Amino acid sequence: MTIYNVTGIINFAQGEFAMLGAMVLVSLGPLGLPLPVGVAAAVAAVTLMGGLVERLTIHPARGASAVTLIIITIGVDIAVRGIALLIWGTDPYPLPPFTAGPPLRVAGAIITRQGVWILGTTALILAFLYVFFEHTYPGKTLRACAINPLSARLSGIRPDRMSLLAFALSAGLGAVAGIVIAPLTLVSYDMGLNLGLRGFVAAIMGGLVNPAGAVAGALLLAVLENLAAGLFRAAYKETVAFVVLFLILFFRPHGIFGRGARGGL
Amino acid sequence: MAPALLSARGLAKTFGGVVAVADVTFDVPAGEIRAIIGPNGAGKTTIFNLITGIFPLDRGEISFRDHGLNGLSTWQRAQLGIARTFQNLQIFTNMTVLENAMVGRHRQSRAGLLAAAFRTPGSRREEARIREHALACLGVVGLEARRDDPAGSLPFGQQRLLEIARCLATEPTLLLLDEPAAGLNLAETDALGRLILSLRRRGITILLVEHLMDLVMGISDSVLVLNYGQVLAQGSPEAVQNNPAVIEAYLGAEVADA
Repeated sequence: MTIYNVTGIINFAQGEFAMLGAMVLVSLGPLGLPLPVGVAAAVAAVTLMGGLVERLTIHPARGASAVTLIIITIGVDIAVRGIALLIWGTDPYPLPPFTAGPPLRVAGAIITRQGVWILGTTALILAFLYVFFEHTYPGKTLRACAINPLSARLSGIRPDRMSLLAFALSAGLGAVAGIVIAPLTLVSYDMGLNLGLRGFVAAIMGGLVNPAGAVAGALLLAVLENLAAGLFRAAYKETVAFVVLFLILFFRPHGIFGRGARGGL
Repeated sequence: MAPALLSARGLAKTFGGVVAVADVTFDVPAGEIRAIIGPNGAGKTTIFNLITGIFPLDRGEISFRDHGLNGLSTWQRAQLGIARTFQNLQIFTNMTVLENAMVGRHRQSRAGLLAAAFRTPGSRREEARIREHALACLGVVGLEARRDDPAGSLPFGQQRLLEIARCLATEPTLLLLDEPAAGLNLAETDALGRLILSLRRRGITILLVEHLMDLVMGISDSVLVLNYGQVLAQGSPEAVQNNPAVIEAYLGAEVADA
């Protein structure tokens, strides 16, 4: 979504950055690094990979239409998953929770300790994005690039540098997301696909440009999925994301919380 | 005669089979207000797009402060000190007025992304400097009271002023104004004329595309008249107004229309 905000394209490879973050952390396991160091190293590595992906795939095609670039990201998604399959194989890897211990009881609900980590990390990332885009100068220039690339260029802003920053930034954030959820889901080469799809649906629900809207969308989607699984059959869970995607695109193309004034791609 | 700040030699640009600019040569000395006039489709806005690098030239050369501009991209030209406004406004609508002006300071910003992300003292100081300068630019056009309003909520005339303020924030040497009076009422147009003159006093050279003859003739040092992508005449406002070819091709036609 950060990339969409800056470059106007949807990055379908975003889920793979989450997979890479978790995989790199798993691979660093044998080194016996303390967890914070390992996480920092994995996030840094994936941030670099995000920049590399932009330079190798998006940058050479700069100036192409948004649809072309979006299709490129789909290609990147498939390629990265394929490479991950070659490196790490098909077996899922476990990642221990960040803090051991029994699940917590909060107001009658049961929540795992890792769940607390996920909520906390989400809040932190949201706060970071808010401060970055609203209160720092580079954040503002990134937004300017998204709103009106022509005026941004005429103000002396290099759009290709901004695109690089956006990819690196969202790869890093994706890696963080992949790492915090990995202890709950196991780490496998194809985990990015599902994450990317759900993330995309959540972002659409939130209206694509609004990080807080996307989080709200994600929560709503998760509730719907689990309701479907509970009320009908567990197999329906996977269908929910797609059905929601269709419904949103049919009836609320600017997102549930969108005001509707914004043009499409 | 002062050395030319901007020098255009034999500019040509064709879109499909349509010749927008056929062969245009002119010099703009530093410190001048130069108007470009001509009937619709004469190639005025195309010349702006060629100077700012939005379209590549088919033929010809543009140099600015003795730099050849051919082959430079739009942002590089902006960094050399060329700023422009648009006939149909191009502001950052869902940012505030002040943020719009701050974006113009990009050329002067140094702090890295990481420094800004972690809010280091250096990046905070720089942001404060950027904010202060952007506010000063809003002051020049009289928009400082609207600083925190969303730019899209300003009335049309003020959005136009905001676009000029964003240009000023880049500290341009050359400012291109594309029909700045379009859609302004009489009082706003008068104020715009005074603003343009005050910008020149700040040392900014101005190239102005404008249809409103009162404004053009009132503030320009010299006028370039285009017709069908070619230079029809150039000279002082008086000389151009009395040029029979100009009267025939342009002023005459407009009077007849009116």
